[in-house]
Amino acid sequence: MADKTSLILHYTDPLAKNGTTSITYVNPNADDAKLKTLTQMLNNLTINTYVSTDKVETTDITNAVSKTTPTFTIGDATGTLQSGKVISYTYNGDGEVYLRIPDTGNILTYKLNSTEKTVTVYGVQMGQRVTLNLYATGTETYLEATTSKSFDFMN
Amino acid sequence: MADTIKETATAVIEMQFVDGDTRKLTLKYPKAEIETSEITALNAYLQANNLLIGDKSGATFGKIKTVTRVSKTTRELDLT
Repeated sequence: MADKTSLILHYTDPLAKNGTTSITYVNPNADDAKLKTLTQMLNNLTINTYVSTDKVETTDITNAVSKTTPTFTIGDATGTLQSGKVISYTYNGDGEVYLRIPDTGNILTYKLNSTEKTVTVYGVQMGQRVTLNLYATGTETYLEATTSKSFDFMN
Repeated sequence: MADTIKETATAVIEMQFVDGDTRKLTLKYPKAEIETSEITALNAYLQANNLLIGDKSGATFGKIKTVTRVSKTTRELDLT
């Protein structure tokens, strides 16, 4: 939501020059049609010709901070794993981490531990390759991120 | 050659908000005669529709306090 909302009344003056009048600190929740009517009512107090009305929303970015790309990786060596093996991931941001579930054909379950930053995969079949796709949400400080790694499961 | 005389005018609308804060809005090229009824209508419209807020604390619009027509006459002397 904007920090400040203003109106700009555009008119043509008696010398046929374009002019504007700013109306500041407008209620951001006000109805646009009523705001337009307000500028027309104000213009009717003048000898200018009404042209148009703009609504301007401004955001104070004085304290804006660049968002950091988080470190987001899945650990553990690639290679063969066993069902129930705890796989750890690294994430240094403050967003939420989700698992993106690919369509693997059989039903796997994934337990995500966001405190210890681990994923445990159950129900894999012998020789199955499983790809973990993790997604971290963006926040005020951190950009959103994705990371992916494949593992071959022994059973 | 005669002196050059220019007349300019503005209308200054002073508004008051419920927190006591006031704000001025200046209109260029005001009409020669602004009727009281026009200001009454404008005031009623602003009060009924909550269109403007105070700049100190976002306070609700109170009323139009004053409307002043300011005229300025400049006379540029002919130096020829």
